[in-house]
Amino acid sequence: MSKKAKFDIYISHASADAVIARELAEALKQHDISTFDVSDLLPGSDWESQLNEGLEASQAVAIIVGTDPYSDSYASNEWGQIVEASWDTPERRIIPLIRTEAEIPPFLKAFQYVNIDESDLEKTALQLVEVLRSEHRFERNVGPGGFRQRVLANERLIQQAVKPRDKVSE
Amino acid sequence: MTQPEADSPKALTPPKERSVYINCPFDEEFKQVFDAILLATLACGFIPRSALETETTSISRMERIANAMFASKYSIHDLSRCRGEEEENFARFNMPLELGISVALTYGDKRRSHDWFLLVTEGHAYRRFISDLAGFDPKEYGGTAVSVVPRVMNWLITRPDATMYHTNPRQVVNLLPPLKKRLTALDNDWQGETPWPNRLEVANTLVHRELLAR
Repeated sequence: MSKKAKFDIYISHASADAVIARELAEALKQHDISTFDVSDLLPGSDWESQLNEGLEASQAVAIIVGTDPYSDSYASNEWGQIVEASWDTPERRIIPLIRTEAEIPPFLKAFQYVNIDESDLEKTALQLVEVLRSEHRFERNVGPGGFRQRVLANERLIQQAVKPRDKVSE
Repeated sequence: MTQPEADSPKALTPPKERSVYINCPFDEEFKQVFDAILLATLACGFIPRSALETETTSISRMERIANAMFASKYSIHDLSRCRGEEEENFARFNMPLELGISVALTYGDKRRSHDWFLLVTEGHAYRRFISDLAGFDPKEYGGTAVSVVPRVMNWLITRPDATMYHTNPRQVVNLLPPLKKRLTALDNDWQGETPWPNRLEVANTLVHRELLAR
């Protein structure tokens, strides 16, 4: 798909979602889409550097979000790596793949997501292929509303605790 | 005994899910890294907590640590300074002790009401000294204020209690020089005894003015 990228898509998932990740990778292969999955690495590999190499070599990142995404600390740490890589390579697309009844983690809410049809992974694979082949970027144009509210709320809390210099020195 | 004034400052009591306990050295050598962690935490919409926030009260240090940590859903631990020091060549044990409390909090509650993050400097031989933590990969950083910012932000941004983010670590790193200048002035004003909320106020004002204005 990309002339530079070794893999078309990096698939990130929790161990609980390993089966669906594998099946999705198989479905993507039918459309000539190559995938990288860090869980395919051999035991004893330097996980972090291999992960980074996989990210560097991938055109896009798909993050499978299950119903309890924070139960797998490896997977949620992998998200940190993905975010870190995205600072330097914003053109690498991040595509959340949301399982049935799963909630989108806050850091993925700005991205256009794909709902996983668990009874028809071929359909999900086709949607992903469409996203990958599209020139249009799918990130949603969202404002800083939630962040603004949080900063202002924090400001109010901090202000209540600030000590005036003259009172303390008395 | 004097009665507290009606407008006297209240204790800092942010919601637990927005509180991040910072377990890092805060001596002169480490001060800039500490302040960078503080700024990065605020820039992700969280409030840093520390034993320093009740430093002037008469309760014991251990109790102050426990109060701040138990009131925080998240904690950041920097073990960079766990190395032999001075003539006896002893390492400081405070940081691993506090990390141990966080780990106990994590395992003591099946609802996972605490989550911790471990930082070490590049090349740190922590694995040999805390082999019980095998499998919990700490994040390495370059030992500088600039290099610690993205590490802290990447972790906090991906927590379930984060807000949707809009801030790039470079924007936060750009705030480090003005933060240093303002905190130095504040420390001079307070003769090195700056209250914790006043420290936070300076950093959060920068976050508000520089990151929300964009």
